[in-house]
Amino acid sequence: MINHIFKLAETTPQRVIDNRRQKLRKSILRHEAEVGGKIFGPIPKGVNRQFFCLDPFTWIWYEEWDKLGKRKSQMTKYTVGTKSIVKSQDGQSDKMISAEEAKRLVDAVKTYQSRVELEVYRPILDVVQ
Amino acid sequence: MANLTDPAIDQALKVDSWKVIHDLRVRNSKAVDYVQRAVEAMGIFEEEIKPDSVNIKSKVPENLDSNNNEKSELSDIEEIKAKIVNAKKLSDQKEAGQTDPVSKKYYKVNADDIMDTIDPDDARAKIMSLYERVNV
Repeated sequence: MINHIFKLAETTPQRVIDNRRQKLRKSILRHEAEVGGKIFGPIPKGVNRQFFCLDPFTWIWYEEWDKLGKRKSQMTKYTVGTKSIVKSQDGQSDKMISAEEAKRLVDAVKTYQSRVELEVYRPILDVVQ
Repeated sequence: MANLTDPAIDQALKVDSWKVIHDLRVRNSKAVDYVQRAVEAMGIFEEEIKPDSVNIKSKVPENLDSNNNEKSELSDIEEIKAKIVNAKKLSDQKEAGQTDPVSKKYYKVNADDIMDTIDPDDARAKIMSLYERVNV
């Protein structure tokens, strides 16, 4: 009976809309992350690089590669404050980024925005219009 | 159970998709803006912006540039002052009986030019006084 109720809840119109929304959002974010990973130049073979905007205050750089047959990964999180930007890697404590890194981050996020507009959103808009 | 092929649901899904896309684009714009603002607040770019390299003034419309308006007012005042001084000089020359070396006529103050540019009453009175003294 409970299963039947859950099943019923999953197929209510609002639930369908919510699921569809989540699916679309994830799909776009995955695409953005792929495009973001390419803005720093060619990606070496066997490396999975992603760079994306998680929310208005958080940027993520994720990289995965093989080392001696083992899969390694590193995640760098940039948290943007009103007067500072801090980064943490693999859950380590936050530290302020250098001026040089801040300049590169500005360039990167600007490029990211223009590239995702061009490669993610424009194709969607072109199809619909 | 709800009919999942209901056109109303299809429509709702379509509208909702647009909202998802719109929200993500807005989020990206905000995120880029926040990074730029944070970096500016950190003072990183200040040393790179030099007056020689960036002509900020050229990007500001004249009517929004208060310094420019102030300069304009100052130059008007300077111009009026110069005209008063010139009128006074001509008046003195007239009184001294000097004439224009070319026309051999007495110096005359172009009262219309002066009056067009002078607004303050005291300046007007002064110019008029000089004008009356110069013109025969």
